[in-house]
Amino acid sequence: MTDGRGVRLLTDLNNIFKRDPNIDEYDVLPVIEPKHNKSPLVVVDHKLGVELWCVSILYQHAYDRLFSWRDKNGGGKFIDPVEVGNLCRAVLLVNPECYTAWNIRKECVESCTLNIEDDLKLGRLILTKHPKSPETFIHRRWLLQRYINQCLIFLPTNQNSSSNNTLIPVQLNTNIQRLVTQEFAVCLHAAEHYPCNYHAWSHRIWLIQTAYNNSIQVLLTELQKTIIWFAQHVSDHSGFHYRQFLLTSLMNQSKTLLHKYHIDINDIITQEFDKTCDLIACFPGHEALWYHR
Amino acid sequence: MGTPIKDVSIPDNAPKELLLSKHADYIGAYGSKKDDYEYVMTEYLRMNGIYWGLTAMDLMDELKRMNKEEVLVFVKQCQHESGGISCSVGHDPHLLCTLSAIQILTLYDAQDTIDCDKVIKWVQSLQQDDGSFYGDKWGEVDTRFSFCAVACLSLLGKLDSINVDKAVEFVVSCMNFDGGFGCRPGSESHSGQIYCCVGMLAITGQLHHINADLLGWWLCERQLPSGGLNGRPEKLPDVCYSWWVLASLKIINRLQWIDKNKLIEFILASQDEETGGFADRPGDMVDPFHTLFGLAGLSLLGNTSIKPVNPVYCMPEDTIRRVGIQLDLL
Repeated sequence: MTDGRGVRLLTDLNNIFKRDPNIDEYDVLPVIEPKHNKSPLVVVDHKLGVELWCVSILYQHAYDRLFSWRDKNGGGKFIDPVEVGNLCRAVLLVNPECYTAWNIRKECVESCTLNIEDDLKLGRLILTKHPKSPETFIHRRWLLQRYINQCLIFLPTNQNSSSNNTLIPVQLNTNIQRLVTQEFAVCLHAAEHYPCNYHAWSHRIWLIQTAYNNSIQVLLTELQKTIIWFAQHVSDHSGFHYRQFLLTSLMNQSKTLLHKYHIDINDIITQEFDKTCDLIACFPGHEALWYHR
Repeated sequence: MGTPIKDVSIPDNAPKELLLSKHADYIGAYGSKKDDYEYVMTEYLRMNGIYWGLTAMDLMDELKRMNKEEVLVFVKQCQHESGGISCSVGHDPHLLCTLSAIQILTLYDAQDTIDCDKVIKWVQSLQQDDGSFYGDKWGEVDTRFSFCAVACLSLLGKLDSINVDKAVEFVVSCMNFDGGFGCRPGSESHSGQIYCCVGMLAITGQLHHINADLLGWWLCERQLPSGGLNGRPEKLPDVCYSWWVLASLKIINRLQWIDKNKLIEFILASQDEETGGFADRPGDMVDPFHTLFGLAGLSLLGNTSIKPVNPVYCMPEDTIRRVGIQLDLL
């Protein structure tokens, strides 16, 4: 049942990632049959193109090999952990909803044959092609949670004692800070590429809750940071919900907001209301704006 | 100048009658091409797919056409040592496929095919201190999993094996100011999540937590001029959302707030006259998922050539009665 072409395609794909670990985008090229003797996998400027005709061959091969290994796991044929990771990658690039392949990568992370940052990189790449893939976001939450937990263990105990297993910004070490900043960018990119992206925005909410424990400083920054985006995306109900989440979280901490930051929550709400009315006047007929109002 | 509403228009030649026998043929033949690339691509949904297909057949009173033995052997093979059930052989157990498996076994009155005690223990083990449920051992939390857990356990007659009060508390904490529910506390309202949360509260007898007028208003606003319903504001209408919204409205007794005839027209127009089956909207490719929700929707809207469907479990009412479940809806 082994198709020689499948083996070759997989090898090609693996070599591409070996040569260029920074592939940052990929898509299928509308080539329905092999036309020349060159590889159907093309890389230009860190962008990977895969000719349409070979997608199913590559997938079937990687999928069969991965799951026949998985099925006989324990007593079955040994496959090198690096290759297991590679097989998962091939499967997930084509079909990111295959949750078991993500789980296999989780096991690789647990056994330290795969590092968290590399795995986050694969997810980010997949989201460029499948910006609303729920399983990709689910896997990222698992990776980020694990990363945060690992960092917490290494925090000095005097800082850790009051934190209740959640972090406040001052305690975020630079690694987490970098990762979370990057995660915000991933969310925004996904939201940009698929309007009303439920998964991207609820992922961002999760991030604020988990990595920042709804810190006022972060909520205020987010409110400021996303303002232009919403004026440019007046139909995005998910995006407006995100602002409602920020406002509600601030409202729940309105006393601290007033005492520590000298900001009255009512002023923020009024500003938001006025801005929304302006947008409604400029862009009539957008239901999302009215819901926000 | 306003912006055009995001909707579809129904072509004049779209089907207006229910093509029952075509749908039975479509589902009956589905899955016979097992070497198909499409078949391999959808393996991560196999258990759910079997549930969609069998329930659709049962609603049309054609369940006898399916290969019962083959299905039961498959379900048995998918149960893991942990007790959980996976979407297919060689894949990992998950609550989403476990519910589908229990629904399949219940349709066939064959729950004893698998080790149900183990399923119950596994579901139990996924509940967290805050009442929420993990979908599997990796720890993702979602209100869909709360629904799966209680639906599964109630079909097995073991709802009391978890902390129901805590489970309800968590779902209620996901309620938003618009009356809807999201996947986690603070997340946006979404028709699919609303269906799960409303269903969860119906199974646990806690529907009084819902503000039925507020939620009903949000839900009926999902109807578009084409008659179809969308899942969230400014999204396109879809047969599957039509079911989730419709079933939620039925559970909270606000079904009369939408234009039923227009919705029937939309669902019927989403049939494929040649192949049988329903698509997400008129003119698109059909699949078993939308075929089930198209049929279930029509049943809820009073079509008597389809068996009455239970709005909470999306299974035939007679099956739900057989296992002794009697829910008080609003």
